[in-house]
Amino acid sequence: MSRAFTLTRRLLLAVSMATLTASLAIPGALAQDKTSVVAALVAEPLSLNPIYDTGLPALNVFYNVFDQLTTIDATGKVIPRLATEWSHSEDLKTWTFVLRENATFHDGTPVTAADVLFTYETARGDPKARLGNYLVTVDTITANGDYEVVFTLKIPYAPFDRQATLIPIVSKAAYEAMGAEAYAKKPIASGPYSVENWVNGDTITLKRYDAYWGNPGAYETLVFQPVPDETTRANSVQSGDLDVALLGPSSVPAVRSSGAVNVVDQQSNRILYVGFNSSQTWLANPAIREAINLAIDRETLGARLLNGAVEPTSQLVAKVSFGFDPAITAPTFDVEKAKSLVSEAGYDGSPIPLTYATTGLPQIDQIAQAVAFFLQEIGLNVELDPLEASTYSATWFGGELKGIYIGAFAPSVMDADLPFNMLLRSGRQGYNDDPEVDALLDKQIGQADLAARAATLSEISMIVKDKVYYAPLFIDTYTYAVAKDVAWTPRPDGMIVFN
Amino acid sequence: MSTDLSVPGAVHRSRGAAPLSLMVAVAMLATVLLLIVVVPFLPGFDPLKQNLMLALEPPFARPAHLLGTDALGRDILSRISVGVRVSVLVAIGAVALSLAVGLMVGLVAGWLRGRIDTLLMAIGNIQLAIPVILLLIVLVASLGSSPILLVVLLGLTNWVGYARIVRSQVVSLREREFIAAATTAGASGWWIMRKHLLPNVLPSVLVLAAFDLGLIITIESSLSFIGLGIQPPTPSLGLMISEGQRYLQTNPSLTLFPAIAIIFLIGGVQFASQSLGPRPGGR
Repeated sequence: MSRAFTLTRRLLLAVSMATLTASLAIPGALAQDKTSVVAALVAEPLSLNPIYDTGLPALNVFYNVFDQLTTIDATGKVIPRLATEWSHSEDLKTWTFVLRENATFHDGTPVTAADVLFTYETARGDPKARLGNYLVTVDTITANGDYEVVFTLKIPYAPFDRQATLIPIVSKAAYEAMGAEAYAKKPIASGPYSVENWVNGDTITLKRYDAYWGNPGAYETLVFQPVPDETTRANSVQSGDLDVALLGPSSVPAVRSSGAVNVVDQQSNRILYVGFNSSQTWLANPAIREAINLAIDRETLGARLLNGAVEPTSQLVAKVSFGFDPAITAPTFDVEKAKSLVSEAGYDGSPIPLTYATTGLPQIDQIAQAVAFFLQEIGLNVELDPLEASTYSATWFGGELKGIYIGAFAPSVMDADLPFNMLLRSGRQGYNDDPEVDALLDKQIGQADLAARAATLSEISMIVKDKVYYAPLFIDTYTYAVAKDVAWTPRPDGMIVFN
Repeated sequence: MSTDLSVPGAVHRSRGAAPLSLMVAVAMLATVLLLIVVVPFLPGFDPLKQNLMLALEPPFARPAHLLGTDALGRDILSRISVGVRVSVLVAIGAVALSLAVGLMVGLVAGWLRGRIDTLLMAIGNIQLAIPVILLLIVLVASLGSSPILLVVLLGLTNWVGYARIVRSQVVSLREREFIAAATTAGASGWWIMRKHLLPNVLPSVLVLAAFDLGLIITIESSLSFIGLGIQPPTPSLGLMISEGQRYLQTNPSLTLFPAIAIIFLIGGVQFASQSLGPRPGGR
């Protein structure tokens, strides 16, 4: 521990000294002169091998170091990356991707269809490969020459081009030469940065790859540093030890008023929701669920606990995600109606637990206490049931939550298919078995026409709202502190990318 | 504290120090008592009532919220009052339990000696070898947390000190003439323990108990701080500090007031036990 700490300090000192000398040499010089940025990660990646680590901390590195076939832009649209164009058959079961011919790996060798094939097959071939979980729909993959890859799927799958944004392409030659273990420390890929050095427990240093085919890396050196504690992140970014850091909502006012750094908001792909185990006696009653939906003052909650940066919603997907319908409005706060719904339902005061994970979401303990209080105000006997984060997710996966619960969903592919299937399909993590929803889910996944598919997803959102299967709370916002001399644009998925 | 009597003038100073620490103790404990007894009768008292519109009010700004409000708009003074009450009750319960267990074990071991003594002291040594906080974290994390469970766990992890003191005193007392006389007169071991040994060992363990009160309050606050002690929405001093920590830069009073309450509570108990405890070279 102490050795890692000294190293961190020394490195940060070196970095800040470099910055200091640069600014002393040319007074008034700004962004162009800064060659190195330090960005905070909320946790350290487990591995830099994308086939085995699909965690969010590692994705930050992968989006800088690797190329995927496609990528998603700031508005949530799928755009080309390694693939310049792609097409699908009428039935959405055959997808053909055409690769660009000017992409090279960090060792100078060209990126070809063989590498794409190798990546997808390795991920599918090893049951321990977590990347394989994204590819369960894939049946066969074939290379058509050096620059064309054809996927055939087991089922029609409309968002397959989105799914491809999650698969970083590894270099077949390098991966085979190095072996999976060595590759996990210093991967060779084709992104705008290459991995220079990873000091375990400390920093991951990336160097700009000058022969990159696309938008070049904005800085010569990019350092990722895991800083799990949000107060430490806020302090370090103000003191100049970090250049980019995600802020906890409670740190935002202080950092903003200090004026030492820029504070930027980015609406995210994450929604916070209240869920119900509707097999529980009282929660089975839609009137009680509607009362809960009406009793939560989302505006005040957001304004007071989350700096007013969040947007109240009644949908299970964020604005940036495909399937969000701007026509479906957020619920209106109405305590009196909620109270009368509860008394009409004949609620007898039996306790209803409110389960939440104590870590992982900003201000979650306070949000949970506030939600519990709102529900107590309308006469529900709500008891807080805080669970440790891993226990909570195991209970959620197992469908064993006892009453009301608070959760969040942030689909990296920014498409409603994944959250809707997990939260709403019969037998999955939700508690409402509705054949109509199941049928609509089956329908949308085979719809090639984007507008038609969006309409089907919106139908599902309407059912969720009408029957109050969930009481969605907010579309969340990520707030970052960014050093004044650093040019950087945040992304809705919260990944820190510099090109 | 007052062992360095060889220093010139120390005798004089130590004579004046006792009343001073007693005064400090009385002042601190009186404040704590005021918090526990009087605050609940104030008109604005409600530790759980939220008002998000009044969140993070600064202290001394409104008469209804004398010490301000927390992030959920709850009255800090009311929460400290309940938090102090919870801490005191948990500490007294835990100390009483460890005192009872320690006394029993010490009396039995010291009186009977032999194999039972070896066994009981071995158990005590094993208990001492395990870091208490670590053990508590594991137990609370696996068993869940409730105030009663906290009392039991804190009580059962802290009895060894009492057992050792009692045992060593009993070992020397049982050789004394008045015990021999009682034995000769046909008194049972149980009777001697109750009538002769207990009154003789009680004063020294009570002093230890007073010191332990402070220790237990600290441990309970630490557990609450890391989220394993008293569970929300019930206020606890450690929990309040942990919740306020994130607002340290903008609203330091969220952390400051519960911290002061802990200082008064522990300081008061410590000063009191120091000034009321046996004088050096005592009985």
